[in-house]
Amino acid sequence: MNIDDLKNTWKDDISDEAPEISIEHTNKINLPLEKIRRNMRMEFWSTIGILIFGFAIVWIPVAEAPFKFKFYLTILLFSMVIVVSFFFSKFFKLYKDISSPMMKTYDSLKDLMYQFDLNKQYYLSFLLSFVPFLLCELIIVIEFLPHRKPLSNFQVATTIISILAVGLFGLFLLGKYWYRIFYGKYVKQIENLVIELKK
Amino acid sequence: MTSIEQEFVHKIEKHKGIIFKISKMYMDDQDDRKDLFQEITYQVWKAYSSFRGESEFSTWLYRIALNTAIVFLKSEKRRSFIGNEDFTDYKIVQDEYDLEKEEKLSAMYKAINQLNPIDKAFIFYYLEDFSGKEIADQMGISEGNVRVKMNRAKNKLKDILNSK
Repeated sequence: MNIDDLKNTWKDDISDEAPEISIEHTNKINLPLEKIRRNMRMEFWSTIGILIFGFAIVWIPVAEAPFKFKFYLTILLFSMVIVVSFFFSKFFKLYKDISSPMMKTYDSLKDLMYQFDLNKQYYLSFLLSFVPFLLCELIIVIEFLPHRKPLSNFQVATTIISILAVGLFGLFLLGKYWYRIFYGKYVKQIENLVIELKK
Repeated sequence: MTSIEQEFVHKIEKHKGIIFKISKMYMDDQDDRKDLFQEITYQVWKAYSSFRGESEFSTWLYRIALNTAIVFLKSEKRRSFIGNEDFTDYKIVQDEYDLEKEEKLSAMYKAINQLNPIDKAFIFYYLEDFSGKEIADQMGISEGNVRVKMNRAKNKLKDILNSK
Protein backbone atom coordinates (compact mmCIF):
# COMPACT_ATOMS: atom_id res chain seq x y z
CA MET A 1 0.00 0.00 0.00
CA ASN A 2 1.40 3.42 -0.84
CA ILE A 3 0.62 6.68 0.90
CA ASP A 4 -1.85 7.86 -1.74
CA ASP A 5 -3.95 4.72 -1.23
CA LEU A 6 -4.24 5.62 2.44
CA LYS A 7 -6.83 8.31 1.78
CA ASN A 8 -9.12 5.77 0.14
CA THR A 9 -8.56 3.24 2.90
CA TRP A 10 -9.22 5.98 5.48
CA LYS A 11 -12.49 6.93 3.79
CA ASP A 12 -13.45 3.25 3.55
CA ASP A 13 -13.30 2.95 7.32
CA ILE A 14 -16.96 3.50 8.03
CA SER A 15 -17.43 0.69 10.51
CA ASP A 16 -19.96 1.11 13.27
CA GLU A 17 -17.70 -0.19 16.01
CA ALA A 18 -17.55 3.21 17.79
CA PRO A 19 -18.85 3.02 21.37
CA GLU A 20 -22.07 4.72 22.40
CA ILE A 21 -21.80 8.43 23.18
CA SER A 22 -21.76 9.19 26.88
CA ILE A 23 -20.96 12.49 28.53
CA GLU A 24 -20.10 10.86 31.84
CA HIS A 25 -16.47 10.66 32.85
CA THR A 26 -15.14 7.13 33.32
CA ASN A 27 -13.03 8.11 36.33
CA LYS A 28 -10.08 6.47 34.66
CA ILE A 29 -7.02 8.66 34.84
CA ASN A 30 -5.41 8.98 31.43
CA LEU A 31 -4.32 12.60 31.20
CA PRO A 32 -1.01 13.76 32.74
CA LEU A 33 -2.62 16.63 34.62
CA GLU A 34 -5.22 14.35 36.12
CA LYS A 35 -2.49 11.96 37.22
CA ILE A 36 -0.72 14.84 38.94
CA ARG A 37 -3.95 16.01 40.53
CA ARG A 38 -4.57 12.51 41.88
CA ASN A 39 -1.02 12.30 43.26
CA MET A 40 -1.44 15.75 44.83
CA ARG A 41 -4.65 14.68 46.51
CA MET A 42 -2.88 11.65 47.96
CA GLU A 43 0.01 13.81 49.11
CA PHE A 44 -2.40 16.24 50.72
CA TRP A 45 -4.12 13.53 52.76
CA SER A 46 -0.83 11.88 53.75
CA THR A 47 0.54 15.25 54.90
CA ILE A 48 -2.60 15.87 56.93
CA GLY A 49 -2.22 12.34 58.34
CA ILE A 50 1.37 13.05 59.35
CA LEU A 51 0.34 16.29 61.06
CA ILE A 52 -2.46 14.54 62.97
CA PHE A 53 0.10 11.94 64.00
CA GLY A 54 2.26 14.86 65.14
CA PHE A 55 -0.58 16.17 67.34
CA ALA A 56 -1.03 12.71 68.80
CA ILE A 57 2.70 12.37 69.54
CA VAL A 58 2.72 15.71 71.33
CA TRP A 59 -0.32 15.02 73.47
CA ILE A 60 -0.32 11.28 74.15
CA PRO A 61 3.13 9.78 74.90
CA VAL A 62 4.54 12.86 76.59
CA ALA A 63 1.63 13.57 78.89
CA GLU A 64 3.99 14.72 81.61
CA ALA A 65 5.71 17.29 79.40
CA PRO A 66 5.29 20.96 80.40
CA PHE A 67 2.15 22.59 79.09
CA LYS A 68 4.19 25.30 77.34
CA PHE A 69 6.15 22.65 75.39
CA LYS A 70 2.98 20.94 74.18
CA PHE A 71 1.24 24.22 73.52
CA TYR A 72 4.07 25.64 71.39
CA LEU A 73 4.33 22.45 69.36
CA THR A 74 0.58 22.35 68.88
CA ILE A 75 0.50 25.95 67.68
CA LEU A 76 3.31 25.15 65.24
CA LEU A 77 1.57 22.05 63.94
CA PHE A 78 -1.66 23.97 63.57
CA SER A 79 0.17 26.68 61.57
CA MET A 80 1.62 23.93 59.39
CA VAL A 81 -1.89 22.65 58.70
CA ILE A 82 -2.85 26.17 57.55
CA VAL A 83 0.22 26.40 55.30
CA VAL A 84 -0.41 22.93 53.85
CA SER A 85 -4.06 23.76 53.19
CA PHE A 86 -3.07 27.04 51.55
CA PHE A 87 -0.58 25.41 49.19
CA PHE A 88 -2.84 22.53 48.27
CA SER A 89 -5.78 24.85 47.65
CA LYS A 90 -3.45 26.71 45.24
CA PHE A 91 -2.45 23.45 43.55
CA PHE A 92 -6.04 22.36 43.07
CA LYS A 93 -7.14 25.77 41.82
CA LEU A 94 -4.26 25.71 39.35
CA TYR A 95 -5.41 22.39 37.93
CA LYS A 96 -8.99 23.55 37.69
CA ASP A 97 -8.06 26.62 35.68
CA ILE A 98 -5.62 25.16 33.24
CA SER A 99 -5.30 23.03 30.18
CA SER A 100 -7.91 24.08 27.74
CA PRO A 101 -7.98 21.53 24.92
CA MET A 102 -9.63 24.18 22.74
CA MET A 103 -6.36 26.04 22.24
CA LYS A 104 -4.26 25.59 19.15
CA THR A 105 -2.20 22.43 19.61
CA TYR A 106 1.13 24.22 20.04
CA ASP A 107 -0.35 26.76 22.48
CA SER A 108 -2.10 24.02 24.40
CA LEU A 109 1.14 22.06 24.83
CA LYS A 110 3.12 25.19 25.73
CA ASP A 111 0.47 26.10 28.27
CA LEU A 112 0.61 22.65 29.78
CA MET A 113 4.39 22.83 30.03
CA TYR A 114 4.24 26.27 31.60
CA GLN A 115 1.74 25.03 34.17
CA PHE A 116 3.95 22.06 35.01
CA ASP A 117 6.82 24.45 35.58
CA LEU A 118 4.70 26.74 37.72
CA ASN A 119 3.58 23.75 39.70
CA LYS A 120 7.19 22.74 40.27
CA GLN A 121 7.99 26.16 41.68
CA TYR A 122 4.92 25.97 43.95
CA TYR A 123 6.03 22.55 45.05
CA LEU A 124 9.53 23.64 46.01
CA SER A 125 8.19 26.71 47.85
CA PHE A 126 5.76 24.42 49.65
CA LEU A 127 8.57 22.19 50.90
CA LEU A 128 10.82 25.11 51.82
CA SER A 129 7.97 26.71 53.78
CA PHE A 130 8.44 23.91 56.30
CA VAL A 131 11.94 25.09 57.20
CA PRO A 132 10.92 27.83 59.71
CA PHE A 133 8.48 25.44 61.35
CA LEU A 134 11.06 22.71 61.69
CA LEU A 135 13.52 25.22 63.04
CA CYS A 136 11.05 26.47 65.66
CA GLU A 137 10.29 22.90 66.65
CA LEU A 138 13.99 22.24 66.99
CA ILE A 139 14.43 25.31 69.21
CA ILE A 140 11.51 24.23 71.38
CA VAL A 141 12.93 20.73 71.74
CA ILE A 142 16.40 22.09 72.60
CA GLU A 143 14.92 24.50 75.13
CA PHE A 144 12.61 22.06 76.85
CA LEU A 145 14.43 18.74 76.75
CA PRO A 146 16.26 18.13 80.01
CA HIS A 147 20.04 17.93 79.52
CA ARG A 148 22.48 16.49 82.01
CA LYS A 149 24.72 19.48 81.38
CA PRO A 150 23.22 22.67 79.94
CA LEU A 151 24.27 23.28 76.33
CA SER A 152 26.72 26.08 75.78
CA ASN A 153 25.81 29.00 73.51
CA PHE A 154 28.26 27.67 70.95
CA GLN A 155 26.68 24.20 70.99
CA VAL A 156 23.20 25.66 70.59
CA ALA A 157 24.31 27.93 67.73
CA THR A 158 26.19 25.19 65.83
CA THR A 159 23.36 22.67 66.28
CA ILE A 160 20.74 25.07 64.97
CA ILE A 161 22.82 26.49 62.13
CA SER A 162 24.00 23.11 60.90
CA ILE A 163 20.50 21.59 61.07
CA LEU A 164 19.13 24.66 59.26
CA ALA A 165 21.74 24.38 56.49
CA VAL A 166 21.32 20.62 56.07
CA GLY A 167 17.53 20.92 56.37
CA LEU A 168 17.25 23.62 53.71
CA PHE A 169 19.52 21.80 51.32
CA GLY A 170 17.89 18.46 52.08
CA LEU A 171 14.34 19.69 51.58
CA PHE A 172 15.28 21.42 48.34
CA LEU A 173 16.92 18.26 46.99
CA LEU A 174 14.11 16.07 48.26
CA GLY A 175 11.56 18.32 46.53
CA LYS A 176 13.40 18.19 43.23
CA TYR A 177 13.90 14.43 43.46
CA TRP A 178 10.31 13.77 44.52
CA TYR A 179 8.98 15.95 41.72
CA ARG A 180 11.16 14.24 39.16
CA ILE A 181 10.16 10.74 40.28
CA PHE A 182 6.43 11.45 40.46
CA TYR A 183 5.91 14.00 37.74
CA GLY A 184 9.13 14.13 35.71
CA LYS A 185 8.06 11.59 33.11
CA TYR A 186 4.93 13.58 32.26
CA VAL A 187 6.87 16.83 32.04
CA LYS A 188 9.45 15.17 29.79
CA GLN A 189 6.72 13.78 27.58
CA ILE A 190 5.13 17.19 27.06
CA GLU A 191 8.53 18.84 26.58
CA ASN A 192 9.37 16.35 23.83
CA LEU A 193 6.08 17.07 22.07
CA VAL A 194 6.70 20.83 22.16
CA ILE A 195 10.22 20.34 20.81
CA GLU A 196 8.91 18.02 18.11
CA LEU A 197 6.35 20.61 17.03
CA LYS A 198 8.84 23.47 17.11
CA LYS A 199 11.85 21.95 15.35
CA MET B 1 -31.12 14.59 29.92
CA THR B 2 -31.29 18.38 29.60
CA SER B 3 -31.91 20.04 26.25
CA ILE B 4 -28.29 21.18 25.97
CA GLU B 5 -27.12 17.63 26.63
CA GLN B 6 -29.51 16.33 23.98
CA GLU B 7 -28.31 18.95 21.51
CA PHE B 8 -24.70 17.99 22.22
CA VAL B 9 -25.30 14.25 21.90
CA HIS B 10 -27.18 14.81 18.64
CA LYS B 11 -24.36 16.95 17.27
CA ILE B 12 -21.53 14.65 18.29
CA GLU B 13 -23.33 11.50 17.17
CA LYS B 14 -22.60 12.49 13.57
CA HIS B 15 -18.89 12.66 14.35
CA LYS B 16 -18.46 9.61 16.52
CA GLY B 17 -17.02 7.63 13.63
CA ILE B 18 -14.20 10.12 13.15
CA ILE B 19 -13.55 10.32 16.90
CA PHE B 20 -13.15 6.57 16.95
CA LYS B 21 -10.84 6.71 13.95
CA ILE B 22 -8.66 9.18 15.89
CA SER B 23 -8.73 6.78 18.85
CA LYS B 24 -7.54 3.98 16.58
CA MET B 25 -4.74 6.16 15.21
CA TYR B 26 -3.46 6.88 18.71
CA MET B 27 -4.10 3.65 20.61
CA ASP B 28 -3.27 0.11 19.58
CA ASP B 29 -5.28 -1.59 22.28
CA GLN B 30 -9.04 -1.97 21.99
CA ASP B 31 -9.74 -0.95 25.60
CA ASP B 32 -7.41 2.05 25.37
CA ARG B 33 -9.23 3.14 22.22
CA LYS B 34 -12.55 3.04 24.02
CA ASP B 35 -11.04 4.99 26.92
CA LEU B 36 -9.64 7.60 24.57
CA PHE B 37 -12.94 7.81 22.72
CA GLN B 38 -14.71 8.40 26.03
CA GLU B 39 -12.12 10.96 27.16
CA ILE B 40 -12.44 12.92 23.92
CA THR B 41 -16.23 12.93 24.18
CA TYR B 42 -15.98 14.12 27.77
CA GLN B 43 -13.46 16.87 26.93
CA VAL B 44 -15.60 18.08 24.03
CA TRP B 45 -18.65 18.13 26.30
CA LYS B 46 -16.72 20.08 28.97
CA ALA B 47 -15.72 22.65 26.36
CA TYR B 48 -19.07 22.70 24.56
CA SER B 49 -20.44 25.74 26.41
CA SER B 50 -17.48 27.75 25.02
CA PHE B 51 -18.16 26.82 21.40
CA ARG B 52 -19.06 30.09 19.71
CA GLY B 53 -19.59 28.80 16.20
CA GLU B 54 -16.68 30.86 14.84
CA SER B 55 -15.45 27.77 13.04
CA GLU B 56 -17.24 24.64 11.93
CA PHE B 57 -18.19 22.33 14.76
CA SER B 58 -16.18 19.51 13.17
CA THR B 59 -13.01 21.65 12.94
CA TRP B 60 -13.39 22.70 16.57
CA LEU B 61 -14.03 19.12 17.61
CA TYR B 62 -11.00 17.75 15.74
CA ARG B 63 -8.74 20.19 17.52
CA ILE B 64 -9.99 19.11 20.95
CA ALA B 65 -9.87 15.46 19.95
CA LEU B 66 -6.27 15.66 18.75
CA ASN B 67 -5.12 17.79 21.68
CA THR B 68 -6.59 15.19 24.02
CA ALA B 69 -5.20 12.24 22.07
CA ILE B 70 -1.68 13.72 21.89
CA VAL B 71 -1.27 13.78 25.68
CA PHE B 72 -3.45 10.76 26.44
CA LEU B 73 -1.66 8.11 28.49
CA LYS B 74 -2.20 4.45 27.88
CA SER B 75 -3.48 2.48 30.80
CA GLU B 76 -0.57 1.58 33.12
CA LYS B 77 -1.47 -2.09 33.22
CA ARG B 78 -1.77 -2.44 29.49
CA ARG B 79 1.33 -0.31 28.88
CA SER B 80 3.49 -2.91 30.60
CA PHE B 81 2.80 -5.43 27.83
CA ILE B 82 5.21 -4.47 25.12
CA GLY B 83 4.03 -4.87 21.56
CA ASN B 84 0.48 -5.75 22.42
CA GLU B 85 -0.99 -4.31 19.27
CA ASP B 86 -4.55 -5.42 19.25
CA PHE B 87 -5.61 -5.48 15.69
CA THR B 88 -7.62 -8.62 16.13
CA ASP B 89 -10.82 -6.61 16.27
CA TYR B 90 -10.68 -6.18 12.52
CA LYS B 91 -13.18 -8.87 11.76
CA ILE B 92 -12.11 -11.60 9.42
CA VAL B 93 -15.01 -12.03 7.09
CA GLN B 94 -15.57 -14.51 4.35
CA ASP B 95 -16.36 -11.96 1.68
CA GLU B 96 -13.14 -11.47 -0.28
CA TYR B 97 -13.64 -7.74 -0.81
CA ASP B 98 -14.25 -7.15 2.88
CA LEU B 99 -11.27 -9.25 3.83
CA GLU B 100 -9.06 -7.15 1.58
CA LYS B 101 -10.53 -3.98 3.06
CA GLU B 102 -10.02 -5.17 6.62
CA GLU B 103 -6.43 -6.08 5.85
CA LYS B 104 -5.79 -2.67 4.36
CA LEU B 105 -7.35 -0.97 7.38
CA SER B 106 -5.32 -3.09 9.74
CA ALA B 107 -2.12 -2.30 7.85
CA MET B 108 -2.95 1.40 7.80
CA TYR B 109 -3.61 1.69 11.53
CA LYS B 110 -0.62 -0.52 12.34
CA ALA B 111 1.61 1.82 10.32
CA ILE B 112 0.10 5.03 11.73
CA ASN B 113 0.43 3.67 15.24
CA GLN B 114 4.19 3.63 14.86
CA LEU B 115 4.36 7.39 14.33
CA ASN B 116 4.83 9.85 17.17
CA PRO B 117 1.74 11.74 18.44
CA ILE B 118 2.54 14.94 16.52
CA ASP B 119 3.09 13.13 13.20
CA LYS B 120 -0.19 11.31 13.73
CA ALA B 121 -1.98 14.67 13.99
CA PHE B 122 -0.44 15.80 10.66
CA ILE B 123 -1.40 12.54 8.99
CA PHE B 124 -4.94 12.93 10.31
CA TYR B 125 -5.26 16.39 8.74
CA TYR B 126 -3.76 15.05 5.52
CA LEU B 127 -6.27 12.20 5.40
CA GLU B 128 -9.10 14.61 6.13
CA ASP B 129 -7.97 16.90 3.28
CA PHE B 130 -7.23 19.97 5.40
CA SER B 131 -5.35 22.74 3.60
CA GLY B 132 -1.94 23.96 4.81
CA LYS B 133 -3.55 27.14 6.11
CA GLU B 134 -6.20 25.23 8.06
CA ILE B 135 -3.62 22.90 9.56
CA ALA B 136 -1.43 25.87 10.51
CA ASP B 137 -4.42 27.42 12.25
CA GLN B 138 -5.30 24.22 14.09
CA MET B 139 -1.75 23.46 15.18
CA GLY B 140 -0.66 27.04 15.93
CA ILE B 141 2.42 26.97 13.69
CA SER B 142 3.33 28.66 10.40
CA GLU B 143 2.26 27.29 7.01
CA GLY B 144 5.91 26.80 6.06
CA ASN B 145 6.42 24.73 9.18
CA VAL B 146 3.30 22.71 8.35
CA ARG B 147 4.72 21.88 4.91
CA VAL B 148 8.01 20.70 6.42
CA LYS B 149 6.36 18.63 9.13
CA MET B 150 3.74 17.19 6.82
CA ASN B 151 6.42 16.00 4.40
CA ARG B 152 8.41 14.55 7.25
CA ALA B 153 5.38 12.71 8.66
CA LYS B 154 4.39 11.40 5.24
CA ASN B 155 7.93 10.21 4.53
CA LYS B 156 8.06 8.40 7.85
CA LEU B 157 4.75 6.73 7.09
CA LYS B 158 5.92 5.84 3.58
CA ASP B 159 9.03 4.19 5.04
CA ILE B 160 6.94 2.19 7.48
CA LEU B 161 4.56 1.08 4.74
CA ASN B 162 7.42 0.16 2.40
CA SER B 163 9.20 -1.83 5.07
CA LYS B 164 6.26 -4.24 5.27
